[in-house]
Amino acid sequence: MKITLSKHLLHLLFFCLIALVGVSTTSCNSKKKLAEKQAAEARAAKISQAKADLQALLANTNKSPEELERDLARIKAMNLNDPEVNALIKQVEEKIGQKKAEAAKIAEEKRKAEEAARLKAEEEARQKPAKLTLDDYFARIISAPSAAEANNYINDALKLFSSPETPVLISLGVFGGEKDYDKPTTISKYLNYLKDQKRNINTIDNIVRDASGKIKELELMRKK
Amino acid sequence: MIKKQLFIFISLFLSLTFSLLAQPELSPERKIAVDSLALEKVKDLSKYISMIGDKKTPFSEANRAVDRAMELFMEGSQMGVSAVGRKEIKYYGVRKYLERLMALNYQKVKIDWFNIQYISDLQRQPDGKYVGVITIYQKFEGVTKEGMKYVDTTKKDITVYVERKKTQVNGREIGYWDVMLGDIRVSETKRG
Repeated sequence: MKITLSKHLLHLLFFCLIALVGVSTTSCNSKKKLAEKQAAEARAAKISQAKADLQALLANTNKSPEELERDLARIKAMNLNDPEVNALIKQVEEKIGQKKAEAAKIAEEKRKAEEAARLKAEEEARQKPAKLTLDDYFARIISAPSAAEANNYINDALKLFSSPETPVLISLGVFGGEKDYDKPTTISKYLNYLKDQKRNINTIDNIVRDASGKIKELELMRKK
Repeated sequence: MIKKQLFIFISLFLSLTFSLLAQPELSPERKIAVDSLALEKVKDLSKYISMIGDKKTPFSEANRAVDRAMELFMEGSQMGVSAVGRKEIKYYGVRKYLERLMALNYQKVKIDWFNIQYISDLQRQPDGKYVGVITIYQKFEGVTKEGMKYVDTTKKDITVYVERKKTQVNGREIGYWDVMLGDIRVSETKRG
């Protein structure tokens, strides 16, 4: 009798254990499903956000390729592996590629333009004669092989003066404390005089300049 | 009436006297500088005449040289022109002479002035001006289209007037010597 009771009690305990395991398993399964559901919802939200962000990147025209790359890397790091997101990522990558190509093209054009400007400046510097002094111009006008060439030098020399009518004084010397001059002339006439006479009997004694650095009065002295 | 005439005479006399006194006396150094200035003007004219006569000188340059040469002369000055075998000496206004020189009917023209020197030193005149005479020798060579060559040498006397003047340059007064050439007279012409 005692043995029978024990047997029954054991069976009951066994059933209770089975029931407990059953209940426990059911509860665990429902928790897992909930977690899975929450994870799926989170992923869906991430995908939605990623799509929105990617669309925004595609529509944006202000960001540089580097900024687009940085934003895209952030989205790619989420590893969403969603076909739509992947397609948008590809589009953004294509856009970045195009932008980079455009930027490279612009940079190349700019480089070429700068190079051309540099070469032009160098060529102009080579072509341009050294900056001539007034004495140089006098000498070149006198020794010019033709009137046309002398006239070119005259025109260049006149650029040093405030006007072709700039007065030119030719001092003969100082006598009794008083300075004597030849009749005053103008720079235009004086330069033509040098061209005609093919000799320079005067030296530069004094140059007066205006505020812009141009010569507004020239004083020469008769060579002794 | 007599008083009035006397007053005018005295006034004119005094004004002439003061005018003479106002002219600066030339020290020997100053005289040399002024003599030299006048000689330079004659040398300048020599170059202009050579340019104007030269058939290789571009027309525009020759015309400009005529204008520049004219600036050296007193108004109304005349230039004497002679030729070998012709006794008569013709006188032309300077511009007319220079224009004729430019249009001479030669294929080639060469004019040189040499032995440029004073034959009469600059002398002070009652009006305060200084007047002198500079003589030059002009060698003229003209070659026709046919290759015929005409050459003569003429001695010419140029009257030179020098006057002290004042002017303003950039607001300050300066004193200068105004040299003006007068008539150029032929004194001798010979072949070659």
